[in-house]
Amino acid sequence: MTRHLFRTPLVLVTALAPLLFFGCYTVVRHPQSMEVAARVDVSDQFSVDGTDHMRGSGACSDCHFESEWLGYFDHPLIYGFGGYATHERWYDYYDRPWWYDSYWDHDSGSGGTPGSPFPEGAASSWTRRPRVRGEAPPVVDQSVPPSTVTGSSGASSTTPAYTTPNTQPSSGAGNAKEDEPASSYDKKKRTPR
Amino acid sequence: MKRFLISAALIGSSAVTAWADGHPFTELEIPTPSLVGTHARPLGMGGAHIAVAEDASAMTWNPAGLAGVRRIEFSSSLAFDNDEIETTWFGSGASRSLDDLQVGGISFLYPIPTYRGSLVFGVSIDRIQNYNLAYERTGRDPDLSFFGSLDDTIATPGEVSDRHDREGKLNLVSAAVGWDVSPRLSLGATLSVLYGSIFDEQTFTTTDTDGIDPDLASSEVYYLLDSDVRGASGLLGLTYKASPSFRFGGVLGLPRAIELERFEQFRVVDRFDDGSESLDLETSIPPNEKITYPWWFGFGVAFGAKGLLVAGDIRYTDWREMKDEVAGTEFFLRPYYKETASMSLGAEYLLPSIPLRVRAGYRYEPVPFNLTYVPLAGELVLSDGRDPAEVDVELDSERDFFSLGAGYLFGSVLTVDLAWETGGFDRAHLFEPDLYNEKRTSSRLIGTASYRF
Repeated sequence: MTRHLFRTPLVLVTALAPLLFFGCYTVVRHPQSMEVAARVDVSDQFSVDGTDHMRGSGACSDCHFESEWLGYFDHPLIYGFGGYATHERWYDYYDRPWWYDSYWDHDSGSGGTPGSPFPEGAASSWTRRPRVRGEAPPVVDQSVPPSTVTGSSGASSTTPAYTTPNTQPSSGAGNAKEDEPASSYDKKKRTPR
Repeated sequence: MKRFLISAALIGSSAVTAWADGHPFTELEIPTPSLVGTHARPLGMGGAHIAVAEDASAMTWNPAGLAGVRRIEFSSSLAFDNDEIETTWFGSGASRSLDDLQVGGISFLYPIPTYRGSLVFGVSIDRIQNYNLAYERTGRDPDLSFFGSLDDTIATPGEVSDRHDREGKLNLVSAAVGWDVSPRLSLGATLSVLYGSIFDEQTFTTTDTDGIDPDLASSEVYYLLDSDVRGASGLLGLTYKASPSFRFGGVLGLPRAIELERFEQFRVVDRFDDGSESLDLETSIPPNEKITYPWWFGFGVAFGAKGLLVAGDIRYTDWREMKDEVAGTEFFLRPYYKETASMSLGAEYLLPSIPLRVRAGYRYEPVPFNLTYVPLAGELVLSDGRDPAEVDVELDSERDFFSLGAGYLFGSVLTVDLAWETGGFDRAHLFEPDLYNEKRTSSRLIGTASYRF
């Protein structure tokens, strides 16, 4: 039971080690405001709707526009394989992230931070937040010409662009989702859980 | 050499070497892992799941599929097995069947909340291999040369009976992770610890039904092996989403290394015409046996659109690379095994009006063992060459299975899937198929319930 049995795990760990450094596409922690600000080109900042949210060539737009920050969880390339996305109940079972609702219902109330979906001091993304019913998820309008998305790993994909918001998240000065665009990718049958 | 044959046969399925002194056949086959799995959805699709798995089954089919899990999942499976073996030996038939109901597996998956991409962890316990066996062959050997004379050149008949009962299981305790490295590409890895046990009893009886021998009425050789099995293995996988309708998957199975800690008992009972008996009993704790199964590769492709999912897998394993070692001595198995390419095809259809899905599949899984019954006139030759005395067994039909399955979604949180698979193979003595042939059929029914929080 010594080297014989542990030979295989050692081989496995060795094989896995390079993969751990293979790209940083998956994001589990949102950049904090100061990190974002440090990367933003001030000349590109402008206010969209009276909030402090920034758009342009800066760090926020790196993810929120060029990537699929919103549409990710609905993107037909990634989820709903085999036609499951078009059935409401199967969509809820397979495709809707368990933490999904909280994103759209998060109401900072006490004020948020530009570029951050949660206010400072809010619970981390590892904490399950209370789910609030009544909000439709964001959707992607496939009629809009696609944009190219590139992950840090170098892989890219063509995805539908976002259109104007069609969701009405709960109000709050710090609600970062409020000015995020949404779309209409095939959610006709869906209703909130 | 004798020890090797005994130990190999212990986890094999028929006679043991010690019987070779009195009987010409011995099986060396070491059971090899099967693709059957412990989840209903893959089984219902004939095992075509490398590019499809997006639930707890991904831990054993393709861990990269874990990256597609979006909800916390708890699942468990129940499995019912029925195995039947029919034999014909010296013109006489025998048949035995065995039923077994057991927990197939329990799994828990936890997707980490992400802003982009996916990171999912999972743990599971699966009974991946069943060593259970109920085997028997009986017949009248016209040339047994066991009774009546010590001179083997004088042919004398005798009734022979070969019975083999085995209970055993191999469990897999796994931890796995799957994550996205790009919108299209996901990777995954499973690390597994194996544990289980094998309780093996083999009885070989010769009876002087013709009353040839003046003293001896029958002779019974009994062999028992009680083994604890421990081991380790792993699986690496990737999934590539080429388009919303096409996916590809690839897996690399790491060598499965198992070690058998054994206790054995050997007993010979001679019964005489006057009613007396003689007993020869021997118990021992032999050195541990180490078996390493080879690397394997798998590739899968899946097409899905409008509720229809079609998938195909192919797996390659070079069983000749399997290793068996006892007390530092490695036994040469290469001549007895071959490389195999297994194939699975499956389809699933999602009904539009009710949350029900139905599926069907076909699995072709060649038997990797080249020969089954070896005459042991002398010791086996440990070399690349085949002992001229060995007798090949020809497969009349390769091992294949058909499967059906269905799954229903309750609410939007609980799925219950059922799958049934049946199949088998025939094989016979290469030169004298009437001397020995066997037909093995097995059926498996699996029910899986998965709750997503």
